[in-house]
Amino acid sequence: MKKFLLGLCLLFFSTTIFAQTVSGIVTDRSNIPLPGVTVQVLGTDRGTTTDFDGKYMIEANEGERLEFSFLGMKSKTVPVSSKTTINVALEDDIEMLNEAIVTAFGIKKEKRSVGYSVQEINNEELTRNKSNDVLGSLQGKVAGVNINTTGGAAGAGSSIIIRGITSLNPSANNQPLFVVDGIPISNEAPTGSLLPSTGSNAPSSAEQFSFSNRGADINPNDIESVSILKGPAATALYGLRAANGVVLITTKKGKSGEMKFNLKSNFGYSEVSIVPEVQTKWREGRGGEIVSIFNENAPDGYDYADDRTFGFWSLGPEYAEGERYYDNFRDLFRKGYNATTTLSLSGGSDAYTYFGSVSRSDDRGIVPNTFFDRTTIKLSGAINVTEKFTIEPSISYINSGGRLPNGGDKSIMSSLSYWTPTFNVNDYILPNGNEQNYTAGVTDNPRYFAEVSYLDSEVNRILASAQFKYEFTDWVSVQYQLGVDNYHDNRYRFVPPDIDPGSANGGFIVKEGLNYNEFTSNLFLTFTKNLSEDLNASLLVGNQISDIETKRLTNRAEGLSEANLNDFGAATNFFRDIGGNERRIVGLFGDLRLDYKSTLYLNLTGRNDWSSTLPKKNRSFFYPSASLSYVLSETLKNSDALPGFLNFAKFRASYAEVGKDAPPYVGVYYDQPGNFPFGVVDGLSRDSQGGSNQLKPERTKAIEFGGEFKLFQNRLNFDLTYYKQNSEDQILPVPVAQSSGFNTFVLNAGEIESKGFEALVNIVPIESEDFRWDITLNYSKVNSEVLSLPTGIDEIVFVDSGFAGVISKLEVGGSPGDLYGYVWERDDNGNRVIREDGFPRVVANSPADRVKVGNALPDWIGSIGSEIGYKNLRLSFLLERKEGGDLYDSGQRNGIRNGVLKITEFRDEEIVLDGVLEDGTPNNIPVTITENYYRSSAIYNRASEILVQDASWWRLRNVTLSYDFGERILSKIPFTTASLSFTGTNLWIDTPFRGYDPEGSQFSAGTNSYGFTGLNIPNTRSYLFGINLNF
Amino acid sequence: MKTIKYTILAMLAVFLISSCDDYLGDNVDPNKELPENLESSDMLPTSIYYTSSAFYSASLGISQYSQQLASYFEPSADTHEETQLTGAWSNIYLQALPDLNTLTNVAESREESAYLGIAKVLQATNLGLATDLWGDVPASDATKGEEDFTPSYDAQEDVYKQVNTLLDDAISLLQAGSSGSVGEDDLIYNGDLSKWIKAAYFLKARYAIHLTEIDQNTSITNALQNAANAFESNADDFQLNYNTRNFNPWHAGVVLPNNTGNFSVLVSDQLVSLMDGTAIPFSSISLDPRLPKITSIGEDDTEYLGALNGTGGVHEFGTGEDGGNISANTNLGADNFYSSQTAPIIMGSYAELKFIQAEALFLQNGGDATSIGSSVEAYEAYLEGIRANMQKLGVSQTEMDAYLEDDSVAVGADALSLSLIMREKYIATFLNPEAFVDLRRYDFDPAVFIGLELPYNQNEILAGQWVRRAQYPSTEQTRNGDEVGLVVKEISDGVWWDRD
Repeated sequence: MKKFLLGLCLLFFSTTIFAQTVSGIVTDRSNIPLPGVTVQVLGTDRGTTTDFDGKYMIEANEGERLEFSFLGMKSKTVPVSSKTTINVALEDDIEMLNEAIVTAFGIKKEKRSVGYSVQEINNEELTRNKSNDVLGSLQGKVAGVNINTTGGAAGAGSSIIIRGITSLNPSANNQPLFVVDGIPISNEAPTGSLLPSTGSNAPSSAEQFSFSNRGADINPNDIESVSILKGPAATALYGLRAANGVVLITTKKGKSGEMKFNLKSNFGYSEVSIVPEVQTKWREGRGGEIVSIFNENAPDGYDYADDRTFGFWSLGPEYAEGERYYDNFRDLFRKGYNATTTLSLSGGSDAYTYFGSVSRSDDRGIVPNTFFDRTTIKLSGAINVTEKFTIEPSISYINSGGRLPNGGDKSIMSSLSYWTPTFNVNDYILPNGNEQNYTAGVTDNPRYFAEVSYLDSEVNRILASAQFKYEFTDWVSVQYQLGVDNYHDNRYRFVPPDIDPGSANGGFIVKEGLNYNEFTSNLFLTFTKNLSEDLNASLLVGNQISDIETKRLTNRAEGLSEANLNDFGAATNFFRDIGGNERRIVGLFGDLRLDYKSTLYLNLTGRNDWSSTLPKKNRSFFYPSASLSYVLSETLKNSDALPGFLNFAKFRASYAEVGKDAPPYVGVYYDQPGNFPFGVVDGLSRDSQGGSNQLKPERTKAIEFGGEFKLFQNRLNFDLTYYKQNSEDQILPVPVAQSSGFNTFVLNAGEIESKGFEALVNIVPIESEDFRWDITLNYSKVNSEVLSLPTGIDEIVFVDSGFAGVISKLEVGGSPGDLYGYVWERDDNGNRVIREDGFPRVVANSPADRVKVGNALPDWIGSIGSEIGYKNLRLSFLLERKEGGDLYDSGQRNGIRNGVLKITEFRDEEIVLDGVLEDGTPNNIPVTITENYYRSSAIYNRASEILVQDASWWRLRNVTLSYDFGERILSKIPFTTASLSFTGTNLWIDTPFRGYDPEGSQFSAGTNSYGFTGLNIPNTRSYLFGINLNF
Repeated sequence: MKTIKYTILAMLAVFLISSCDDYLGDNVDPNKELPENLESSDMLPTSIYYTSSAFYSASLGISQYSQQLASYFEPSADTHEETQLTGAWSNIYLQALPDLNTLTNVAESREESAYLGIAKVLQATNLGLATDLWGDVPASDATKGEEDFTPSYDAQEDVYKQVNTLLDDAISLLQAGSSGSVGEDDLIYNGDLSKWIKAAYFLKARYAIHLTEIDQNTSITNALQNAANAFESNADDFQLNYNTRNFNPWHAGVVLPNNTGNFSVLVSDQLVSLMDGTAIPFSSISLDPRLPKITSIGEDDTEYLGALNGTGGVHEFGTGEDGGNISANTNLGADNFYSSQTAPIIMGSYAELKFIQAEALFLQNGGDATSIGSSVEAYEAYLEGIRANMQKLGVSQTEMDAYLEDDSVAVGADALSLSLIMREKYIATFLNPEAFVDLRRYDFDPAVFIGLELPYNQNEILAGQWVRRAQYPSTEQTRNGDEVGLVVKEISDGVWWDRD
């Protein structure tokens, strides 16, 4: 659009000679020169545009007025005096800024014409919090979008859910499609296959590492803007892969002119944010007696009292005078450091433009012996071969990876959850080199674990694309795009035999290679025509072909050689496993837009997909969408019916359907079990998951209504959306009776309905020459309900915590994220019943005793973002609220049973517990609380009232203070603009949750398993300084 | 680069001819096998492996009910909480039986009678194990996949008939067939069909003796008749030997986790007391020489202290230092016969067979739970069972002789009692679900099982009743609720053959 205007303006360029030559520079508010600004002498046909340095020169007479106008900026008029230099700074125009918006296939549309909700975030807003990751950059900024950092490990992934969970399938990918400049790229966070043949003892233990989601490979500094397409109406053109929404990334393009550079650098540190509180009264020991006594010469550094062979608990006597405790939940973690630098350049001429960037980011993780770094190189350009033919090639190379910490079961974090505050967790090695461990190996010393066992991952990735555009006439053009996303993740996991996960198999090494390759071909024709004075039409027809191939090769060695521990080849037993799949999709689509008097807009789309993953007879399917936008303020423009304070009002409505295919290769297969060959004998076994050969595509149907209102000279803006979405005929592995010979069978079954409301409010309370205050409020709420489950199935279990009894499951009438567990026995009035011995009882005779105890998903989320600018100084912050959402803390029960946590500090004292006796009268039986109370699952530690906690929060997500150097300083340094900034992330969190930062999740991004935390690497708070130079 | 080129070409081609079926392919996983490409030898090793796994999974829970083991935790199966044996259920229904069905189909289509016969023996083994654990179970409608996701449950009496039919068919197939290509893929007998035939007869004897409460005479007759054609020595034992690559599940599932603090089960005082002279005092020896072979105590410990069931690992209450409890010290060790890295899982043994014979002959001779004295044949079978078990465990000749000469063991035919036979069978079927069958058949009678008592902290719901079955897994209850609803019983209710 800008380029188009630029071209138009060039046509107006004239060189007629006048008496006086006025010149100057036009910049934006942050002093960045603006090329292509139209400069017009009002009332005349004299006009020009600024050049690539924002400079202009025009002939004007004293007394005439110059108007400076530019898309997305407020026009400014300046009278010409005797001064021949007029420098102008243009202000952003809120209304105009939102005007053009990027929609499906990079089609720019006027926002007023769009009949569905779409929100765009520009580079400035995106990079404000200095996050290294696109998703991190978007946190809290988009209504209806829930982005969570899955953990605090260097390079940890983020999960993004748009409009809630709509799948009955625990392992379905719920992540939106990522599209960069029209080419879909992978945002997966593949977990691979990194467990030994002995597996692990706890449920869901596959989730051991917080892998990066591949979207994190994109450098946010290379991004011009991000559009979030939320509902099916917005994503219908992208087809089945966009059923969870689309994150549409437009990268920066070169601007013609001399070569310009931008250097951005951030450096700072991070530390663990909030941690579980430990009890500070009771020493290590058991039964009130000390067990472990430090002895440097003992094999593991301790002697044990009372014929015991290990210590474990914090159930000893009170601390003696002079003894101290350690805050190990905090002390294990060190300061993390981060340094990121991006150097980008751009330039070009009429014939071509180019953009290039190089970035390097180094993270030292908060867990000892971990790091993550990323190098990116990007080159892109546009070549105007002829006036009608342009080529835009782009290539990026990314190298990312590091050493990742081990979370989950049998990990650094599970060991830490048991560790006594009496001994410093960082005293982990004895002078003789042995592990110092008061538990004698019952659990590992978490620091020792972190130091000796590791997972290295290195990703090499290439993103390449080329776009060819040819304009046949002014109303017909053709565009072809070809894109490749290819990466290889090379992993190496080393687990020596002296730590828990390696003890059952003599230690093991996993070497794993993951390959991902995606090709995309997009072809589309665009027709634009004014059918009459009042009716404009544009039509797009296109074809898209996608080919996605993944491969995994896992080699594992077990029984490591004592002499050469970390030598794969020297091990005793070898295992090898190959996996992978290929998926091909061909789509044909059309998009018709009608614009009546810039007042009423109608958009119809249709797409037909052919997917390789469906049975031949069902592999072709069609789905339509229709959306309508009505700009009421346009109709009433010149009438009295439009109140003076209302500047803009628009209503929108849409209906859409989206189809979705199946995972590749659904069927009945035989495979070698993981622990085969048995000795040397091979064997095959039927997969416990089968699948139907009659699958049909899954369907989502959605209606959406919304409105946009701008009031008081655009100082108060609302954008409201309501939607209802039904996902039916879901393709999922239906849990079937195992006596049928399968555990799950992939079928079409079940329906979820979700309804949601989203609001975005923008307020500008103060706006003046030097001072501007801007507030953005964001709110969203989703209610989902399971309308049906497959016939004969009562429930679908998503996650099971094992003995503790807390599970996440779905029943008809329930909602995604529902948590069930065992609770204390209660009477008919809901009072806790106290038995004759003075204690309550947890009712847990059979799994059927579980009741609903919470829901993992928030009731609503919201945020307040604000920016205050005074002259060259700007302060911005983002305050987030998550209301509701319950979590099971997997580490907490360990800390309770071992007497580590604050909630176990009340001991050896008498109390009358809350509750009623069996006859209904208030409990009056005094009891002494001993360690047995906390250790008893029948009385205490299996009660969901303790295990499942409210994880609501208030969070100061980030605060940024920045300063732009003014003209006076800039004139003395070789930079056109320069700014300094400070950013703090998660500086303040307020939550009733007793564990680590409840934002962290035990499961990687991309699964539908929510509600479990505690054994992931905890989230951090960070402090970053930044510098931004243009030259 | 080549792939890139081809893919581009392919894409263009598709666009041009707009026929995409070829481009989209047939959607078959290249890294896995389709049913039509299987050989019998692909399916036999896994079928055996999962059958063996089922025995382990079942025993881990059920051996607490039979008080061979105790739990480090309460409440647990050890305090008679409901156990669903979900691992055993899935080993049987999700893995062993589907793989055996496939093996049957492949063997039938290729007319490989040896494989077919073996498959039937293993099917009978699995169904027999399942029905003894849960009572009525899916059998004739089981593992039919898409045809029936909610299989009906067969009455146990019918399952027993099916088991016997499978075994009869197996015997005739195996007798007629030549071993053909069955070889090292037969992880149990390495292709020796004569041993499979003996195993089939052994199973028929075992399932016959289970029916003593239904019709004692028929039960005895059938047991003795089939036993005559069954195992002839320890070399015939129906067992899977594990190896240094595939660890014995007791080793991987109990011993190794114990090393790292993930405690589960230890050895019950009930078993220890039968082997250290407590329950039946020894005259000349102090310890059953098998106890150190099958269990371990700490390096500095001198005495085997079993755990009182239901106590979470207490050996004796209130008699330790300062009036504290004495902890149990007897565990499954890394070097023990049943729990070393390469230990076998024994699904049927010559020793068990001898005790089946001893019991049958004892009953045939008019014996009952409290009677003393029996036939010489019964006594001989009793002694041979002990010898077989001792040899199996690697007890030295001297120690074996000493045990066999002890007054408490060498009682003579005139003083033989059911309690002596069942003590020996209880020891010989250590970590085998069979022990729980025997307990139920004799109604947990302490006259037969000396020293047997309800566990401490017994599940209040049972009100002092013994637990007599496992509960159907939750997965089955929530995914096949209607069928389960027709057959579900209290865990204190006996199965069909378990009459009062």
